[in-house]
Amino acid sequence: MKFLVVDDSPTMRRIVINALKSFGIEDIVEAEDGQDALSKLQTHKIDFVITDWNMPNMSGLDLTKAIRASEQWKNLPILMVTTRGLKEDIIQALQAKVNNYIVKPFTPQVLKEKITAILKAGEK
Amino acid sequence: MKDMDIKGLIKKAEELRALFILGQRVVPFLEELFAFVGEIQPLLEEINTSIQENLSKMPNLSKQLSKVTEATELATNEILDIVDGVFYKLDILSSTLKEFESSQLGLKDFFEDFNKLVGKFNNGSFSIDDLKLNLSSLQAKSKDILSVETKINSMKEMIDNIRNDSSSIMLALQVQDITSQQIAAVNHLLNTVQTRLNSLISKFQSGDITKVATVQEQTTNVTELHRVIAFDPDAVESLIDNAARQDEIDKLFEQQTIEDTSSSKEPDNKTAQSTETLDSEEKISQDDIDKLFNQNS
Repeated sequence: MKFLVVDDSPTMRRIVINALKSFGIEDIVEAEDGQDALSKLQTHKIDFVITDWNMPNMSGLDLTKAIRASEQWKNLPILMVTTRGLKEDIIQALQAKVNNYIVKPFTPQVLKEKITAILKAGEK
Repeated sequence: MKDMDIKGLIKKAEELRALFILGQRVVPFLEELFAFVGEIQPLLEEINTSIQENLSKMPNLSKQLSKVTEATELATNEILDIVDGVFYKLDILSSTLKEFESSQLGLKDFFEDFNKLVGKFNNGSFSIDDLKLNLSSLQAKSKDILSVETKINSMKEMIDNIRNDSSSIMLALQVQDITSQQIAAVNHLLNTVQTRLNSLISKFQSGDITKVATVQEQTTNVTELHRVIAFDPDAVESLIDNAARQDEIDKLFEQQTIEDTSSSKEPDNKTAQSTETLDSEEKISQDDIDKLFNQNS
């Protein structure tokens, strides 16, 4: 299973990747913003996207909308990991059809729970 | 009339004439001055408003920077505490390992004694006396073997503890992303203030003021950050009540999932309709979530 980690902060990408590796997930691709993520989606067979919201060039929300609008990737699991925790933000994320949402800072345990929950829901 | 009086009158008249001539010369200057004051008044008002506006941003900037300092200090201390704990646990692990090594030596002795007995048994020199002689020693050494399991379990527990500590460090390190967003927000505000002040200064056309504007531009430019950072202006707020916020978000997502799977209506329209009544600036509460989803049902 190949994961795409999208965040403009190299520190955050490293933290997420470290956590994924501790869960035994080794096949990981990185992208530094939404645009970069879209190009990585075209060149790699991605199974799961973990994205930040606030990023230059293309935000995580716009990336989600672009993915959902695409016939090829519309069912791709997307987990949003962000500092944004206002009601308005959550509603926007729900409307954009993000599968789940984590507010930073998060524990690796929470990340694992969300990934597992999304994958389980996808199996149904 | 006397000659003197006439001369005096003429002198006064000449003085009056000179005064009128001066007046004629001064009036255009005064008119110009009035016009200048009239023109500069809105500009001064604009400067006043701008200064007030920018000054009002300053406490917010310093508050945000103060929060950044507080957050980094907290995270650094948290990491240092965890590292102290890790060192302590490593010391325990190291001493347990030493005990384990001595237990292993006991295990080696046990098998050596045991093998000697087996050897005697195989070559026919084995006697009950040999068994009696070695039995108590073998029993004592077998206690070391039994303690190995306890030591392994204790080391496993300690390794799990250190793993949890590493997770806590990862959690604390996320403050770097959060504070960098906050600093980017402050930088953005400083840029806005500078742009506003520069545009005001550039309205003055006087040579001296133009010079000042140029100097200002050269010396007060807000430095760009080392990379473009898209920011959440309230990023540091995410450190407050993080667990409670996550809990409420989880409930919202769970209910949305139930709603999606149990209803055949269009979920996008439903969410959009139900969100109209919500105040977007509020933090999420369970009541709001219920309201949101009751409208959908």
